[in-house]
Amino acid sequence: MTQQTTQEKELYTYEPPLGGKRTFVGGGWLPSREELAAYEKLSPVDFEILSYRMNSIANEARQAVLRVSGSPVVAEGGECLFAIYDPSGFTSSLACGLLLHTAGTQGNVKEVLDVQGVAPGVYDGDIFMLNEPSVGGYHACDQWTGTPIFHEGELIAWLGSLTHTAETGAIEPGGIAASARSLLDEGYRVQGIKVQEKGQINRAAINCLLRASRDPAYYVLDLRARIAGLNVAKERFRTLINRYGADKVKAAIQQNIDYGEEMARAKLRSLADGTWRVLCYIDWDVGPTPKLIKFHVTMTKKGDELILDFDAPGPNQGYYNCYLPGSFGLVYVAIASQLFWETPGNWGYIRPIKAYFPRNSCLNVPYLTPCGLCAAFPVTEGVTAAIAKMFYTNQDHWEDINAPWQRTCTAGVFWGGLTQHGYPSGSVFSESWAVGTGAGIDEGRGDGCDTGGMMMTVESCISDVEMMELQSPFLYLWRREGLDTAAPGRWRGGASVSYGLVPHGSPLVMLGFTMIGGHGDTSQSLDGAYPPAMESPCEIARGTNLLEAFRTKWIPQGIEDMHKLVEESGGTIEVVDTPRSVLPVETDKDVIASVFGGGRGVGDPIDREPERVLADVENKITSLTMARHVYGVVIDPETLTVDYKATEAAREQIRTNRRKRGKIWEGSK
Amino acid sequence: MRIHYYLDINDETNKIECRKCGHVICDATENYKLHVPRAEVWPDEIPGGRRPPRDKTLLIYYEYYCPGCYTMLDVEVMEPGSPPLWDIQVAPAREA
Repeated sequence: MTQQTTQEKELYTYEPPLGGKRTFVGGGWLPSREELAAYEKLSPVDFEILSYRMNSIANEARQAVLRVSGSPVVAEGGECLFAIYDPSGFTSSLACGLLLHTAGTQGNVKEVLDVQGVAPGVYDGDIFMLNEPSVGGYHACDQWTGTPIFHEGELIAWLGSLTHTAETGAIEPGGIAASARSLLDEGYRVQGIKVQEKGQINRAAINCLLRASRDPAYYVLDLRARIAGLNVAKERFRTLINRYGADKVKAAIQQNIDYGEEMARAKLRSLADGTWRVLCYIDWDVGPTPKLIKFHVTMTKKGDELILDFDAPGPNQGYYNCYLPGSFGLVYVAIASQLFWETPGNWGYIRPIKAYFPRNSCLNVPYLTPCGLCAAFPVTEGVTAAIAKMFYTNQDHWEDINAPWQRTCTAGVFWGGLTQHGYPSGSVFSESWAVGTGAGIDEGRGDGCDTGGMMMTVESCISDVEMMELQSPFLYLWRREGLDTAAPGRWRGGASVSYGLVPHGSPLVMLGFTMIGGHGDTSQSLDGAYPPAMESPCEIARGTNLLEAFRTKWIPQGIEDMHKLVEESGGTIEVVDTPRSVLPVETDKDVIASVFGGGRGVGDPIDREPERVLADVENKITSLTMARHVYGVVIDPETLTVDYKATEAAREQIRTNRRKRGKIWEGSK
Repeated sequence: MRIHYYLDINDETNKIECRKCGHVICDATENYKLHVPRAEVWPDEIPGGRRPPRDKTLLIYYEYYCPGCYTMLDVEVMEPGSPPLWDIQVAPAREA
């Protein structure tokens, strides 16, 4: 753990490019910060119209990206963002699938202007590309393209589009290489090249990218999709200027940011001052043995400001690390979705936040440290929990209290190889996008949403099974909500997904695993709820006679069935409980199974109404064992009815046990 | 002022109280977890769902109970031997 004071840590901030001064940047003038701040405030009606129109433009452009891209991660997972920035790169309007890049993409605009603004210059029709994690995004898969908008010799805005593009030409397929020990192992990183110059596609630049990827087909689709989004937004932006005039559009961009800040500060003022602390963890770095990595989140709210102070150990050897933009982005997954969900997503609501990250820690790593899998996932969880605790202090916000969602990506499986159609490809299985969300309280949502979605990609959608089977060389044996995955509580977390796959129809299929959480319950619920079940180790059943089982019309329907198949056919089970480099699997014989942990709960499980527990048992969310021993609800397994008298006795017995075991902490004496 | 699913700060007395049974736990300026019973629980004591076995787990559960009604107030996931985390430190309303 780093021992740095708050002042010694690095404050995340955004310094405008070129010193914020009025500078000629090729296609026109970049205004100074003073010029931009001196905008003439619009009437409420004009502001409402123009801010809404810009928001619509960003959303329409994002939809264009989603519809052009055929990549499952983008088209179905929704891992795509579109933003409108002011001339210096401060975000003004945002259409967000990927919440974690709410703040993180502005650094790309700054990089372009700082490096290329004066020479060779930035021109109308240029499209720049970046995927450098130390500048923006969190790993090389986060690929951004941006274009400037000039009007009568003045740079008035930037448009930007980001997708998660899986195949980066890293040392393993899929872009998130468990064996990476350097950023150099994680594939190509583009530093602002022009993929389009003055309206002309730069084929040489694009060939550099395509020839560095194992999956040029999906790669070029994503790139073209981002360019399509930029083109759509640019056209709409021109229409807006023609209709309302450039001065009003420029003012709206700035006023939107200021409005976001006003809303954010007002919300903070409505809450009590105080400090909330959360501990969160991951349980592996490299090697066969687990390693506990601990994060402290200290959130202090005073007046209309929020200070987030993080403690974390030094950089990991493996890929569980983050550069500052990525760590800040993961903080903003929680801020954007939990605290300021009703506020326009822009730089304005970032201004009241001061986030301090320890230098040379796994949340703020030195250059060339690998960062394929974000160390800051637990930070999202910690900030979410701290916000939920803070919301109790004002009744107006009780309905928004939300325990952390399932962390996701921690029991993920990637594949690479040849498709059944004969071309090279690789991607991630989409079950990560269908994990349990956190519970609320009585005045809010109550139970978490079962297989509700991925927190950092709120618009994500689990891929259709038939689509996955069409696009990739796998058949699904089962996919369903996992039993006892949700955190038990007065309000339980959402259940997460369980799935089983068999590779099929390809001569070459390899799998990689991002498994963490296999050695300890690394997540916490709120206010007396238990943590959710831990992430399952992924299991690979090898050498089964699956085809023989099919012939007898028996298809395994869960992990227990998979174990039975192995027992009957003499195969073996391989348990994968740490991240794993890609390894080949055998088609029609090997079965891969995984069960994600669930969303977090709220409150004491023995306060849950027996009828709700019964419904969960009937819906196969909760087992009879958990109902009896954790919820204290006695259910007849034959009739599926609650024995209320026995339930009352069981709950009293749980309280008696607590009286026997509970002791005041000795250190307090 | 409410500060937790089960806890309030009494604005008159500035004490943290249980919302279910009214038990007065401590002054609002203190960590309530220092004043309530806590039990050390192995994750594999919780039946149902995957929990790490005790010979492998890196973390254990610390359960905290209201001394009045024994409602479970929190389940900390901590390294064995860790002191209670001061997770809620709200400035009393009259000072805010």
